[in-house]
Amino acid sequence: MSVVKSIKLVLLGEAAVGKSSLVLRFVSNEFQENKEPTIGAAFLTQRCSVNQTTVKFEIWDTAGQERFASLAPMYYRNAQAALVVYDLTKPGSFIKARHWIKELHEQANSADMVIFLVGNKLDLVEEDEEQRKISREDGEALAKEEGCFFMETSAKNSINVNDVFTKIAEEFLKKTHAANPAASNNNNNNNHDGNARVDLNSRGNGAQNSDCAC
Amino acid sequence: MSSFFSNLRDRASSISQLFDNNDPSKNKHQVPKLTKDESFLQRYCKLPETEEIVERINVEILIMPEVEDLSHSHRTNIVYQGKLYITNGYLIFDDDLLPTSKPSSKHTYIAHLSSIRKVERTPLSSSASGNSASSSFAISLHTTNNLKLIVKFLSLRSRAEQFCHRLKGQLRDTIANVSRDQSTAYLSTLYSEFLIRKNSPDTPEDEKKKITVPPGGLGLIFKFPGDAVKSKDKSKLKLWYDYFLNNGRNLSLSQTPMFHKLIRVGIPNRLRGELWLYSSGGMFVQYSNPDQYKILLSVHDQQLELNPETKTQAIDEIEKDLNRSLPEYSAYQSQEGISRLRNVLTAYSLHDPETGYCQAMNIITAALLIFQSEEQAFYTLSQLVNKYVPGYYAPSMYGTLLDQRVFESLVAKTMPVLWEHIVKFDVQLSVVSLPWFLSLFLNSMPLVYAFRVMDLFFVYGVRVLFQIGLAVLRINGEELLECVDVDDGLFISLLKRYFATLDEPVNPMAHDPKARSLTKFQQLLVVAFREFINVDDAMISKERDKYRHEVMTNVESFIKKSQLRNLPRVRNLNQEQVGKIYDLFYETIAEDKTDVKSSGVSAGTTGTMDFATFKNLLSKIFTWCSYDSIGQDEQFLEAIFQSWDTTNSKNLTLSDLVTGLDTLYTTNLMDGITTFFQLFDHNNTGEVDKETILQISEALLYLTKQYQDGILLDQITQSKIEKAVAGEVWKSLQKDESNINLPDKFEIDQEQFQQEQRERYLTSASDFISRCFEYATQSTTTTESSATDNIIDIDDKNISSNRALDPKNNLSLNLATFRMVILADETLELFFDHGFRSMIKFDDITISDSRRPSTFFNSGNSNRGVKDMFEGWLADAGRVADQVRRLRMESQSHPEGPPDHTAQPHVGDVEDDDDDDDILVNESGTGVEAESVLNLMSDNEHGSLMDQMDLLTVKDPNTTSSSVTSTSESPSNVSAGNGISHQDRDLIDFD
Repeated sequence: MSVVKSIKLVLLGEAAVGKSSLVLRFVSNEFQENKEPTIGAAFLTQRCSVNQTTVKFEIWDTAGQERFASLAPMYYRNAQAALVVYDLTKPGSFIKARHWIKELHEQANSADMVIFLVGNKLDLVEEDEEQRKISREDGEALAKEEGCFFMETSAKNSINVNDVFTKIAEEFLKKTHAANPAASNNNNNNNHDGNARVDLNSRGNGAQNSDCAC
Repeated sequence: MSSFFSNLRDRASSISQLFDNNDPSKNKHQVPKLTKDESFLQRYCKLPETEEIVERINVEILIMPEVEDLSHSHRTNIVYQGKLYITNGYLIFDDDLLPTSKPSSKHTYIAHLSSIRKVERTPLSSSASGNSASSSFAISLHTTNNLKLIVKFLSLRSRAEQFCHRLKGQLRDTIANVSRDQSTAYLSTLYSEFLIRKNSPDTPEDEKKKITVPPGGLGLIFKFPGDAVKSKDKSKLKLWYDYFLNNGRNLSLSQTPMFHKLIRVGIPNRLRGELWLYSSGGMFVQYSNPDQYKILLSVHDQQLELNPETKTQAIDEIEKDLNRSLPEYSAYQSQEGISRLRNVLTAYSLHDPETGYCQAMNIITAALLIFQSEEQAFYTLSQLVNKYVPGYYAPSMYGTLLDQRVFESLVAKTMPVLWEHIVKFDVQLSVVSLPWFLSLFLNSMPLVYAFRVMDLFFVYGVRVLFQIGLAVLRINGEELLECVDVDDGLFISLLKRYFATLDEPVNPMAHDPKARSLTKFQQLLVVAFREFINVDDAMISKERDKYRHEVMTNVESFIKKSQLRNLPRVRNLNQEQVGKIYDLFYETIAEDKTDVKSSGVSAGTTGTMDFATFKNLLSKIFTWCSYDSIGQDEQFLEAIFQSWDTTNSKNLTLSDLVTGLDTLYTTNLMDGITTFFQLFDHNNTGEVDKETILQISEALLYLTKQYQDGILLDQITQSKIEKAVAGEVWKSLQKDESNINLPDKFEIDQEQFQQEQRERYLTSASDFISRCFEYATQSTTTTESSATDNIIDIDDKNISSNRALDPKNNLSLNLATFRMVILADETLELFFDHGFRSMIKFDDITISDSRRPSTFFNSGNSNRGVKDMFEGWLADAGRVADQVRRLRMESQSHPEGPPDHTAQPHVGDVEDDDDDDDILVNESGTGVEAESVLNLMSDNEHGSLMDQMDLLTVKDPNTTSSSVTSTSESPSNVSAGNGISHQDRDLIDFD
């Protein structure tokens, strides 16, 4: 068995933009029309293979309603990747996405974090271009401005969903490869809030013991 | 490191340290404590807040069916001893056992007074025996649901008589208030009544056929979830039937230990809705307020008809979740189910707009509606949100966060080993437990078991959630401990598996068939109520008190941070000022709310303010608002309010307010004028009409009132006074060159300066109108070409024949002309350049009234300000010296006398701004007198003061040499001089 690396990923975004659906598509290649809103957070795992390395995603899917925002730090704490999702047909959700990215930059260890901006519900837009309220250019511009990756997806029609996660895995591996040689870097990573939960060196061990995934 | 909370706490520790126990800000988080009686009525009996105990007495009571059923002749009649209470609407008996000890062993009877049919004196029968104290007597009461109560008074006869008298009075009032029809109508909505009538041998057979099932939950149409046979629904229903016959039901019900047993084995589906309504106390609210639900919905429908755009945010959010609430239950794939869910959630959001709608409420309401009618669900939901779990669904969710903290603390107390493990491996406990509390286990357990939890929850309250949560961890603790490398994910999947197997036997291999049949769910209840029996309301409320302040403070600062982060960018305000506006915004909203439900997080929650609150807020930051504002202000304030109300909702958000204040606070003269003009240009046409010109002039008069009254002195007056003072000193200097003696008294006529200023402002205002009319463009109706208007002669005062005054003419004034008119008048120009901004005070904002908003407005004596200024001047030798020095130098270059400085251009805007900051920074170092001067002088005065700074010789404490500076000094030195001059004023050296 090749090396398994775990990555903690958090999904953020306004209510009903399709966060849980993106995860469901990625984890079990399914789609549910009416998914119950996430209360607090949901946790799922999925493995995927990138360049002979298996990356195990520990996915924290969060509640989208505004008032749950004060709980979000519990979930993005120590996350190595964040998927910030908006609905291509809802301008309000795009504003909210910007807020989330700002919050991540301010509150989380965003320097070490792979942040991915995703405009979801591409299926609605492809059905009827009138529905589109956020242009691709606007999405790209925000991503560029905030230094994150960007893609438009459809969880329903399975467009770009796996690509998003694969890209995150690749970027994550790049970062850890860059960080690994200098072992001292780990300390820096963990200093963020004094919680040494993410210990890259121990990941190999952890993977051997934990076979609980998916 | 364990939790989000400790994490937050660490981050916020610096803030927390600022608070000591006496800090009033700590008090604001305290929940008002209920009195013992209130707690008994509201918490224990679940009666509405309007109920009050009017009489109480010690009794022995026997409760039995009026006509004893022969088949139940074996029943033993138990006499209970306790207290009988009368409230405004209810009769309550409660036995003497302490409610905290073991609620399920208590005996309580609650009856609405309207259900008492007959009261009569009764001889002390043997059935009500016990001890036979002769001094007292007994009464018997008969209820509409055929119960007979025999009450023997244990008090003195006179007390007993008094009690009976009171009871009689209350009953009479009740008959007057509640009609028979009304209560019959209400009872017909209850399943228990249906059950009795349908099955009672007293009901004639042909009538039985006509009895229809009262409206109830979706389960009646779409089938109840679970297997009714397996859950023995039928025999449970039979048990309840017997119970109701013997102990009453709904509005007159005796709760015996049997009641608690029946609740614990699970309520049968058909009765579940009514018993949830009953045990939550929703029934009592509904009975006294039967139309509330219907009215809420019909008002809402009317509003929507009038204006379909008036949807609230809550209604939008509800709509998003309607298809995602227990979607696996067939009713919620149908229009019927969805529409009921929509109605109840909408009605609730209107009933309690502060809470509005919070995700998880949809799941709970969906669960309620399986068993309850819309109305029953509405009243039950209201009780749940407000009484059972206050703050859980609030916009800040402080209740949820607080109870998670309490839960962690209880885990640490009751399972120290597991807790250590959790801490060691940094598992976020609240990540798993939060949904349990927020959705009453509905999205964790299989529905049938979650309903069982709800059965208990409505009777025993929030402690059930804690007890079951703790039991879940206790039961799975071993397995959790075995995992070496625990993380949140593993934790969650382990518990997920556990919940999925709740119906499985604990010991499938056990020999004893009884032990073999024990399911994991039954085990869970046993562990919850045996091992965690100590986790009661008292313990929970003690723990909540312990963490409340910390959690609230964290929530507030988190919300503040994220709201500030998401505000639109500001150009003129600094972050500190924006922070102050934030505080002020929410504090003012809270102040203006009369029905404050304290205990909540005030800041950052419902974020809009109406005009009345807006006015209140502005009076705290705009000095002209708190000064002499008799009526005149309305128009101008309304203009501001309208122009800031970007959504036209008659309400301002924080973002509207900050953006608006930011534009007003501009440092740019032209921007200031533009902003002012736009306040009046409601339709954004770029032009205002004649009527509006008059409004503007009124606004100007209103805004400059403090200048007119001489309470503020503007730059022009300031210069004049400075000149006059210096002139005096100069005179005295010329008499005695060797020594500068400040005269003890100045002969300066304050009133004269004030009068001059007043006249200048009034003239400006009247000139303003004339000029506006003169240069305004005439629209269509005029015959004369407007081309002549292009020739602008500001000094032309000959306006007597102004054709604009002719009411037949329509005028319009555009921005460019408006600007020109303002700039044409030195007084108005000054006002827009400095005066307006200087009247916005962010820095003095204190919410307590003591210093609001500036030192001299509330002093009562309107002249105090000016007096202080003169006194300050005298005390401030350096300042006078500036002037004198200046005069001296000028006398050398201009022998004919001191020149007129009022005509000098003032320093550019940007530099003035820096000066303001310097003054603020240095204020503390200048001594009391200087401070009062500085306070007195609004920003615009600093300008002229600074103009003269370049004439100073400043002795730096670090250098011994001093140099004479001249008017031609380079600008960089000037600013350096500004910085020190205030601190080191005493060191000024006259060479």
